[in-house]
Amino acid sequence: MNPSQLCAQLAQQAETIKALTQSVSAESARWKPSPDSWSILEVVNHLLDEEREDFRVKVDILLHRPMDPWPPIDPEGWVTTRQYNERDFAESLAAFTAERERSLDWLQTLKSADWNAAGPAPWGGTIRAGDMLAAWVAHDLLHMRQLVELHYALTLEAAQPFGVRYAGQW
Amino acid sequence: MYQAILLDLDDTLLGNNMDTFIPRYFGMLKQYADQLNLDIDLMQELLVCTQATIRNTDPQLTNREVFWALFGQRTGLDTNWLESEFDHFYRKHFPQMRDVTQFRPNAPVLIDYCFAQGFQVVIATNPLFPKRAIEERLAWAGIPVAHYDYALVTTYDNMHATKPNREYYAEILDRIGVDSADAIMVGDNWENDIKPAAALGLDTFWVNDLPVDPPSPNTVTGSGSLTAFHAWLQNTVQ
Repeated sequence: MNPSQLCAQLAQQAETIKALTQSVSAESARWKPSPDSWSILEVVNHLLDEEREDFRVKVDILLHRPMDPWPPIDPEGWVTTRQYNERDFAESLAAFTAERERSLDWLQTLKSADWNAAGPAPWGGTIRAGDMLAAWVAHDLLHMRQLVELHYALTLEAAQPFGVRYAGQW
Repeated sequence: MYQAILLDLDDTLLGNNMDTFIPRYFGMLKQYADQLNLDIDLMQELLVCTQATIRNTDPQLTNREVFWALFGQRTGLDTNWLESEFDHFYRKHFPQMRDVTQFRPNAPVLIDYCFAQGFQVVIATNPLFPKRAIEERLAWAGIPVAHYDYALVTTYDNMHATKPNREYYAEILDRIGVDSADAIMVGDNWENDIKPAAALGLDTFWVNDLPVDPPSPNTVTGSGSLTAFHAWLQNTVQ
């Protein structure tokens, strides 16, 4: 694993997430293809809270205090309990961007980190700090895919009554 | 159930080893002061006046008033002018000190949790620095005053005693209207944070990343890392 490369990827992916979202209107950002789906605004706030309360905290624990308990998280529940879809879209995106910058600044300080440092995982077994960093990067990609899917669904809505079949199979 | 959580800042919410921070801080301050041609031993005066401020517990005088009154008396300098120069230093040069501190990822998570639980949150940092210097460090820790409605942030402008005096903790409790039995002090420094707060009747949590026992286990309510405190608080609240 090349930690510098993964950190650069985190920086680049934040730019991509910003590009995928910032041109969306506040109304479209709140739109959901179905009641059970997430909106773009909910995805952005999920990324913000995961940045702040999950991946960064876990990497810190695994590198520095691997036997410490993990603070509990509730990503699915936070969507409703923290009322993500009621938040201001521009502020949410700015907060995510700022939090990512803070993460990158912090990661820069971990020059001699032991990425093999491991601690007990709540689901049993162990997890290494390097696993958590890699998962952090992959988590972005999962939600970038979700954002693209939401854009596709928004395009279908906006194109009515015309169709997009000629583009090919989704 | 606690009503208030008192949290130390340096080496508690923000990684900031004073053995590294203070020499760099004094070095930068001296470099700045050299341009002012003060014709005094600034470092010596700072130490003497800071020690006098720590000894003072007069409720009529803020720490800032004690410090500058003695500084003016000893040096004969215009302290209004010098204080404005110090303010310039804190605005323009102090932010470079961020390099010697370390962001602690769980600090904002813990603060968010405390506010979500409805606790009054006090930043109980030793009030020997002006407001600007303390607010700057809170921003480095990811918990700026612009984002959090703290019940109190103790600075040399607003307090009349310092750590390790019990009067410092008594003043905090008086200001926020909470009894000592309903508050907990969280900090890394045994002499400054734990002993005086415990003596006043507050619960205490000694923040220490190393697996070592507290100097006096009966004095302290809990000990461990900041993350461990977060978990401990969650269990206590449930």
